Amino acid sequence: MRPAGKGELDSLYFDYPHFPFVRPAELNGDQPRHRVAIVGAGPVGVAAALELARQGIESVVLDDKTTLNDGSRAICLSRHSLEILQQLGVEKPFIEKALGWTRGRTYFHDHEVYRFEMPHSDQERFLPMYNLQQQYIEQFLVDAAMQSGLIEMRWQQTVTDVTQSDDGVTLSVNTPEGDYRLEADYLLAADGGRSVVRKAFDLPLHGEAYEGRYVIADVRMTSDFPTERRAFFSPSVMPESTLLVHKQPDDIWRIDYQLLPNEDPDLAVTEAAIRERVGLIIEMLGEDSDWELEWWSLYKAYTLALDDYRHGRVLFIGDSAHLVPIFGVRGLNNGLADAVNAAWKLAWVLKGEASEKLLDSYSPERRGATLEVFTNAGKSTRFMTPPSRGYRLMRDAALSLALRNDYASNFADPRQVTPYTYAESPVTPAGDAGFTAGPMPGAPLINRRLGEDDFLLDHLGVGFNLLVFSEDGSVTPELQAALTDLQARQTGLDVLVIARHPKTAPLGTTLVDRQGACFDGYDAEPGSVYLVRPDRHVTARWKTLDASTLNTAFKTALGEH
Amino acid sequence: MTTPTSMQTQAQPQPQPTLPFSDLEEVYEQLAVTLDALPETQETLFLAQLALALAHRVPDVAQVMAAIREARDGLET
Repeated sequence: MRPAGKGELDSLYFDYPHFPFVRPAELNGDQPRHRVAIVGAGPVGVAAALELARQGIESVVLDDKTTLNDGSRAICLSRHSLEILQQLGVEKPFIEKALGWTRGRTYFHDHEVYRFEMPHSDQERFLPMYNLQQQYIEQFLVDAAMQSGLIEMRWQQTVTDVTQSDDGVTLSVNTPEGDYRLEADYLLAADGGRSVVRKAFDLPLHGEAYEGRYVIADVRMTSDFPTERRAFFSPSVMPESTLLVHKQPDDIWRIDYQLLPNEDPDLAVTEAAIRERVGLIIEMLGEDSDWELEWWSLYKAYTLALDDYRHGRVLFIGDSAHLVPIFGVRGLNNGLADAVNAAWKLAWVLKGEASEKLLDSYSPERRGATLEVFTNAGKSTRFMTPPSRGYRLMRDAALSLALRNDYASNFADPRQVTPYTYAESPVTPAGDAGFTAGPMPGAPLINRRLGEDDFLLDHLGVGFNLLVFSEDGSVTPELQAALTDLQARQTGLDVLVIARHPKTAPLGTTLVDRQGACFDGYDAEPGSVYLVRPDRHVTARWKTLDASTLNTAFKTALGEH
Repeated sequence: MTTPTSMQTQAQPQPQPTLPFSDLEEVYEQLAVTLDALPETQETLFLAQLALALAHRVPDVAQVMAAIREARDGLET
């Protein structure tokens, strides 16, 4: 919602683009067979299209809107998401525009009781978290998609129904110039919490709704307070409430506050009520500059998910598959992880490099991630908005103790999103002998610094990667033979040799690890090997590689087991 | 003034083992659920009984006294 007299897209800082309707081939009598249709041009749908394109697969993206999202909504991108964006080749505008941050503060009764610092080191290219309005996130992704020859964006085209058969999906599409049917091999449903695709197949979400309701409001205000997450529990201006404050680019500040238990949400979101409440909060923050109201919305916390994220030839990604509470910033960040997980697998099936069995691993992996999110988000939500007298008393007790006692501070930790480890996945082989550190099978790769502005993750290829650790760049003849054999049979495998002191001619790409940061981080010795999926998760690792298990692991990774 | 911090700097051969945070979280949840099942009028009595029952299980009275001070100091936030 926006102040009286302003249109839905009348923003203080963002110029909304207008995406024209372009008459699709189907309305001119053609019936092309598309490989992948994606419903929803939000960040998750477009990220999936970009990953499909990176893997060489065409897609068509349909959205009913004429422009980008109407408000700032999801504003926090995690380091893991930036690493995904880097893989998609689009991270530069994000880094230039977003505000990175590493810290936060928690207040109770107006006293600061806890400061947290997110894990960070000079081995990382990206900061733990970045704040950026969702319109910018969408704009940067859509800009890249529009430039891709493999992605067709279809704006102002509303999907009204979907059916599927054994060999494809059919979408009914409504446009300003008439209706048509769209045929595709597969469908990615990225059409959000009110997913039309989900309704078309009558698939229910299961889970819980939480009590607390939040107003999320953006104001424009000049302040030199650094980019940090601030959480206020029982502040004097609203003793029964919790509020959160985040800085965004363009001098925009996000103020989230919990409505009081008996407050009428319809009255609470009137402009007058918002102005009064936000004014009090800004005064409490000690800001004395003028502020302007930009946008606001009402929010309720849910933990809801589909029972299966795959329904035949349809994969659900992002909010169409799961709704999670905002605390911990997991909605968008997990949606992006869904998008790349589904997209690389679909691409490998469509390229004929894997059988359809690979798709069976999508739901166990990403639904597993959702269930872990629910556990954490449930705790966060009960802490932020205690649902009962008992929870409120325990929450206040923990916050009171937190001022002087570190053991209690952990309760106030915001439990921010962390990437999920696919340890139980059907495409992660069992067994992990000999390692005491480094990313285990199923976990995402960790970044390591190789030099000035030079990091391990900068060098990954498009498909699978094999990280081969070597003292001088050479490998044993047995390993050399196994790699030659595997590369001959399997396209889409890049070999990265990580050498402390390279001397010999490279086997693939050689990365120089003079400081030994990669060796240490990966608990590797000369001869150690990591097999890594296109989405940067580890399939398997060996202290000393034996060629037969490499072949088996590769088959498992592609769903043949 | 004696604070929990200065207590720790007194002659202690080794730090007392403490409950891992994941267990403390379980305690937090169980207490919240138990409190919700009680009439509000019995809350204080229940918590006082719990304090005694827990203290009984701690063999070092100095630890218990430190915990009492910690809880009292927490009221000053």
